[in-house]
Amino acid sequence: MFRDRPSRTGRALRRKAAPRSHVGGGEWSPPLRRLRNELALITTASTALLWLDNLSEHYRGGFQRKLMYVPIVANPIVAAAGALTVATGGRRGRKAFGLLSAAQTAVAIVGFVEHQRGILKRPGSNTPRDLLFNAWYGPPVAAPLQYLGLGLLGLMASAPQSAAAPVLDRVPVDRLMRAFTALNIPPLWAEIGYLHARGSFQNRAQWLPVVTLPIAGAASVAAAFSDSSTARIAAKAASGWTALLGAAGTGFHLYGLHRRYGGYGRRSALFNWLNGPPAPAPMQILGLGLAGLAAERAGAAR
Amino acid sequence: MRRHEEVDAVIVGVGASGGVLVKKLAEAGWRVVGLDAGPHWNPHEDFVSDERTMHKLYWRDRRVTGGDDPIELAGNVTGRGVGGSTVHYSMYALRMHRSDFEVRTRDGVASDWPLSYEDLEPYYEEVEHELGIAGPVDWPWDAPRRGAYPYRPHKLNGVGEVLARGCDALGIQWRPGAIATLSAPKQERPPCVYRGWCIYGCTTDAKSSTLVTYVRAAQKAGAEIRPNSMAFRVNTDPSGRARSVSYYRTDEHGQVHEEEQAARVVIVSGYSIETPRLLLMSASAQHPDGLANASGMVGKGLMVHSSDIVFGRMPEPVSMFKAPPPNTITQDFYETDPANDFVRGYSVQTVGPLPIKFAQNVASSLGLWGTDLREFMYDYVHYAGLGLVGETLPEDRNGVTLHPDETDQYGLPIPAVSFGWGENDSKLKTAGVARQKQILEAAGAQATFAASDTAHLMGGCRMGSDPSDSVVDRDCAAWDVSGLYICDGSVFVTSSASNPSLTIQAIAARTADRLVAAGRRHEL
Amino acid sequence: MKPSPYAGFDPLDEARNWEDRTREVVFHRLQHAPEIRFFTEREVATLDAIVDRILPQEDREPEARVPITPFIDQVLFEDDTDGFRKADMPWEQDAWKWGLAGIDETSRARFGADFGALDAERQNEVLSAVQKGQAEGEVWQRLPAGKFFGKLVQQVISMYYAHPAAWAEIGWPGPASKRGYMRTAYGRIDPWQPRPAHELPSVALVQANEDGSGAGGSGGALH
Repeated sequence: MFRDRPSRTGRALRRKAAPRSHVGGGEWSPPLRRLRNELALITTASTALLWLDNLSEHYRGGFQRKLMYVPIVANPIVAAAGALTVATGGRRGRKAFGLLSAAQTAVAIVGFVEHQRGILKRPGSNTPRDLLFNAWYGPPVAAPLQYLGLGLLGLMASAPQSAAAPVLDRVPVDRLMRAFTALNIPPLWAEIGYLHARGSFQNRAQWLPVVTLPIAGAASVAAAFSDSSTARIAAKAASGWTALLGAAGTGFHLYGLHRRYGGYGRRSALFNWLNGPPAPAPMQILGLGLAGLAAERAGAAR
Repeated sequence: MRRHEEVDAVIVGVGASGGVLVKKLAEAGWRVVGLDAGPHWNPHEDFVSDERTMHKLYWRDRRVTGGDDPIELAGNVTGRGVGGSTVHYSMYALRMHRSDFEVRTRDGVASDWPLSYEDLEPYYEEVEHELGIAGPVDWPWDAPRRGAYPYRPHKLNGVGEVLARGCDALGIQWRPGAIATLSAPKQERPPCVYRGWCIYGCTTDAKSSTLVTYVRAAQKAGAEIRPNSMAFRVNTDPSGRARSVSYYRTDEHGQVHEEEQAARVVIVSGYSIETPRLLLMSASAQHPDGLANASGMVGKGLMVHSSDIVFGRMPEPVSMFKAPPPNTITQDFYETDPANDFVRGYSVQTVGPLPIKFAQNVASSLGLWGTDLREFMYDYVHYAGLGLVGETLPEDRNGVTLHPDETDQYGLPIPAVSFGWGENDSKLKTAGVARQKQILEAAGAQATFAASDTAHLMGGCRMGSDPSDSVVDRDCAAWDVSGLYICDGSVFVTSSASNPSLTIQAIAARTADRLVAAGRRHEL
Repeated sequence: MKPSPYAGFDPLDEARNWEDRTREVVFHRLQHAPEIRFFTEREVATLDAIVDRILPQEDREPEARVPITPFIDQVLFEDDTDGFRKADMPWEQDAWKWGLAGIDETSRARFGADFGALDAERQNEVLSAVQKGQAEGEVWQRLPAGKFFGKLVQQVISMYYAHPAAWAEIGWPGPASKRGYMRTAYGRIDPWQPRPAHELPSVALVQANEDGSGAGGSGGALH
């Protein structure tokens, strides 16, 4: 749990660390301290959920290449550092969390490249029109980029004040997060779009993220350039809606599993989990939305 | 004998076309009765995942098969029970090409259809949506589409990948097949879980047989389906109009009752063997050669598809038993090619026989038995099978007659089927098998062997624009008996190189629309 | 007989996950071999001997062998056949009665004893003659020997490969139900599918028999 105020031990620790902190360039303001804790929590939870999703997918793929183990092994280490950071209110593990988050962005980029190579190795890839078919049933195109988003979020949650201050002096944290949201949406949107297309939009709700995420993205972009209260409202609405989509999407995906043959029955549940709509996947956009909302609150306190 | 009150339409045979007819007519407000010789299956109770048990889905009443090249019946061609052979078909759902409807004009063989592709196109689309066909994003061959398939294609399985890689290496176009099994949920029906048992009856309802699609909708719309009812005569009144169908109904105690169902319209949808048989059995003083047979064409022009399978031994496990066997297809060799020594062409598709069927293919084509056969079968998972759908041309000598002295369990004369390859058919078959081998070898097969086989039935009561050489007109109305319609695969003029079910269903959907329109104009 | 590359694999390990009705059918088959109701005692003896050559099971203890004759008897007694006959063939029941008598007849003509009394090598010789349509005997004047042999092999296969012991030796997981398969791509193995312990390619068998002449029960002479 994150705390508004540091605990007694926390204060004691901070007193000891105070001189170093000064060298680093000063103290976090209480709203930012709180935001960092919130971001650490969101990043950790999202990373753990992504691990579940990732494990299911790579297991289904039979860990056909050794590289497929990398995110499965790396992810829990990042999540553990994140969990330690959250549990201690940032007094322990934050540095490790930051370094590991940076490493995670590298994993994401390697994964992204490997996924494209996997798609291109499939039959029919000599004709561009078969690329969509191959993407539907090959390694998911943009999925590894989720690790990139989480890596960056983890860095935001753990960067030392000295490193963050020059940036935050120029761009306030809420606008920074709006830009981050806007950058995250396109790959998520593409991934959701082509996978929902594979499902033939058989449930009309599958259109919801496809149609509305670009609007949320556009609102975030616009808001990233403005300090106005309209911008804040737009950004809050965009993040709130994104979070809502994530929560609803999880519900729909769980319902989708129920609709498969055997549903949650003992003999089918695991198979359906592995092959049906990915239940943990929409939680990634829930996380993104919540991070945006948290940043808006921190920004409002500015 | 029980006489049922007159209804608007009685349909004999609730299979691929009968299912469509009962649904569409019932939804148009008609009082409809569908008679089916077999049981009304409940997939959740009657279907098991066992190769031997599921032979019960086949039409297994007595029949004789002869001619120069006798074809295999039962599972290869017909089904028994509501849903007909759509319950066990391999569920490729393909449209015929434009050229298929005009082979006389283009190639100088057989006859043109009285229908064009454009006539059927809206009905192809209608049926594809009703069934939830999963097909490729684009269709590179003929049969132009106005819109995308309603469902996205299924993933490749091992055999599909073998066909794809072989084709890639040879510069042949391939696509995931357009097939009648769901790739995403549709109403109450779940998507396919890739069990691979499709041709033994789908236990999950993902497979879009008429049993779980059209027939369920028909019953909701008020149609009555009367199973275990074997029609044996279509009765006409003194004016020569079809009035009723006589049939034997077997009750739950195995007792057989003779019953009669009167209807304003009688539609025979018993497929290429039972439809001609019923018409021939309905001979009377008025119609000494059988009903609707003034042309003498009832029972003639029966066609099959050459469906030779070539198996290839691949370096890695293929496990062709996984996922629906119809996985990928190429129709690059579908149309007439002047470079060939034959006209028309063929499709090449994936297959996926389960162990019994595979072992039987091995035994029959390699002649293996003994220790060799058992050891050969250790290698089952390494085999990929490609199937041919080769066009055969209609010939009057190929067809169905009544056996002069043998009878079935009802005392009815059994059908005698006769078939022999024509010269064009044989050349086409040879070319197809060579192509299948070539694709497998290009994909890396270390050894291949071919198993000769046939599938599907087409023709036997062909449609036409001239009453002297066809049984029904383009609306499936019998030329010489008013009130009688024949609507199933037997009306096919040519066989095409596509699996016939979707075309059978599109013709049925069109016929239903024509009937409803005629009814509105009080022309029936 | 070479050992199966899937030693240790048993599709029945998954049986608790099958649909109930499928499990019932398969276990009924395992536990209840049908009574003999169609064939005579003598015919059973002949057919048992034939079955031992068509799909030899010497690698199994007698009580562990897949029973085949009783199931063929059941199909014929209950007329659970595919219903059709080729124009030059009798109905199924007659074909089997005549065919078994014919095989004994050929055995007597060649070796002076019924089929069951011959050694394996001579039995294979008789069966090869029937397969190739070169068998001696009055029966074969009215029953095409090659076609009957084909029918015989097809039916024996459909009984043998309906048994989980046969599924096990070929690495096939049996009724995929209720769950299906997920690793469907070329070269992929699902978690509930066995991996072969060694390669045992059938390439040589294909190459030696591509003309369809068959191994003729050579009992592994190709290896």
